[in-house]
Amino acid sequence: MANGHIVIPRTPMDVNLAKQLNILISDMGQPLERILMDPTTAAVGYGIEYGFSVMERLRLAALQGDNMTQFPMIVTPGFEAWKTKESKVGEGVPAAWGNWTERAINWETLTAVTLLESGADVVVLRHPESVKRVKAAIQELVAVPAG
Amino acid sequence: MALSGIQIYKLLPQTNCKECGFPTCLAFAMKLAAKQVELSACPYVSEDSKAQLAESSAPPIRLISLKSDGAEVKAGNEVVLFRHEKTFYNKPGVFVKVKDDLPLDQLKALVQQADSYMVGYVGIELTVDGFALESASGDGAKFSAAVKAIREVSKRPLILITDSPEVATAGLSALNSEHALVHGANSANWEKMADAAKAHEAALVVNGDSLDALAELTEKIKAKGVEDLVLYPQLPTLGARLALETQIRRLALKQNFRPLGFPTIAYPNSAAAATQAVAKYAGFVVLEQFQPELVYPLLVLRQNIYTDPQKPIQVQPGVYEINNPKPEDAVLVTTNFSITYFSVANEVEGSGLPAWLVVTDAEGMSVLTAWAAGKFDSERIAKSVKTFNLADKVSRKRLVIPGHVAVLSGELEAELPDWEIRVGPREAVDIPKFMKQAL
Ligand code: SF4
Repeated sequence: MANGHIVIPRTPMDVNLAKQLNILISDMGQPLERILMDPTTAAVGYGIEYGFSVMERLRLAALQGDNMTQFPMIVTPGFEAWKTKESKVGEGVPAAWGNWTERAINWETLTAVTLLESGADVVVLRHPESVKRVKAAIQELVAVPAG
Repeated sequence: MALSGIQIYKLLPQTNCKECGFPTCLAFAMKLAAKQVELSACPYVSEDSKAQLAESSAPPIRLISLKSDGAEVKAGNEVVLFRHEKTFYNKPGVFVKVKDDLPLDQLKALVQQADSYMVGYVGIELTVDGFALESASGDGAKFSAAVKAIREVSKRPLILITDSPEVATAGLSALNSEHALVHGANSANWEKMADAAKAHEAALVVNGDSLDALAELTEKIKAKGVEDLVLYPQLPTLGARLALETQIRRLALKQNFRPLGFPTIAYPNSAAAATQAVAKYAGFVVLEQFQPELVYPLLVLRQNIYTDPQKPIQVQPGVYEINNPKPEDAVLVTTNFSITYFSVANEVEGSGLPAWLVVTDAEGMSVLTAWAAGKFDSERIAKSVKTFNLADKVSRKRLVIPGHVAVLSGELEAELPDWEIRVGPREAVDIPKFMKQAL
């Protein structure tokens, strides 16, 4: 904080905890434009719906004028997805899980895009192929035509 | 959207004649808004008001149900824009696309493979919902033959994709008393498509690249007597589709805008597009290909997004016996969040090693979340160990706690003085290795 860095308040999937920590950090004198909050999340299949809804609620609160939620959101779908069994394990798993590499990349991509749909501004990824696919999705998402 | 009491009052005669059994029209209107009385109790409502009131009591997004012999896929009837406001109800049907220019035996093989697909997730068996047959040949006879071929190997509901009313009719005629979905109607073919859909009691997809285009077509088609409609926002990018899908749902829910009060269909061409379709409002999702490595995470995501946020999915707290444990076998602790429980139980089961799994009542939260919320602390764990009478079941009093709550080990030793407390791995996937090497 003393050296002009950006601070990332990280709270466990809870709107009020996120807000509280943001307040504490801004009270300590951190300029608001140097806060990037991490509401944390989970991968597809491991509780992503909690992160999804917390992020939607934070974003809605921000749009309604609650200035302690008006920060961009950073999330780590790469980390979350790559700790799941579906991504890590290639042998001795059900055949219905399909091709391992593609499944793992899909797990990361689906997690990342779900979080983008709920308002993520920065997504931290792991696999270069997921990066490529998520970047392509972001490009399409921001390409909203006028009107 | 339902009308308020005041809005209903304005549609009543406002004579306060009391014949309905209420002292004033306003009192009656309030009861009507609360759905505690029937409109028929007032003998003086005009036909026009009746129609408006009937319209307002219909769901803002029409329920579309595709039926085949033995299976049903529903979309619509949603009431919120964001799942935390209540919940999303009807999971979007996931359909696999096939084409009628394939040799029939290949077509059947493809359909059969996807039809028999089943994958387990937290004790639920997930499958695809149906097939979307596209007329690539443009030939009615071929289309009808392909429909029959699919019906030899699958009973799941169908979507028939063609711009031609003749081809659509050929396909629909090959089905026996089903409620299929035809895709679809555009500004050129809508009249004949509506006739074809009506003749076979099919639902109809309406194509359009803007709110106006879609609304205009649905109104025309409704006037021809086809009520079961599905919207296809025909737009090239994720951003444009997201905007239109959101506007459609918002207009339907917030403005009760009838011309757009229908579920939508999506044809995602990538994993990202499929994700958006599930997260943001599609009622039917048609996949270009059947790929288990995409279908599996997509069905799981759908399950997640459509979970009722008011009811976290939990398992019953208690002691679970895995691989027939004996008194000297390992004792592991976790929470009663179903995803947590199934991750741990699956790993232990897969390891082949016997164990006692103590599932603590953490109000349906995962280990870290529950710990942060004070629902998975040493007190609760100790209480589980005592109330489940674990000491009577096992001879070796050694308790393994999740690595994420390693900080609890000291307090637990104080709470459970007879027990040896061990710290296990953070992630379920590492449990088998831990059990083999450290226990
Ligand atoms: S019967 Fe109809 S007109 Fe008479 S008081 Fe009731 S609502 Fe009003």
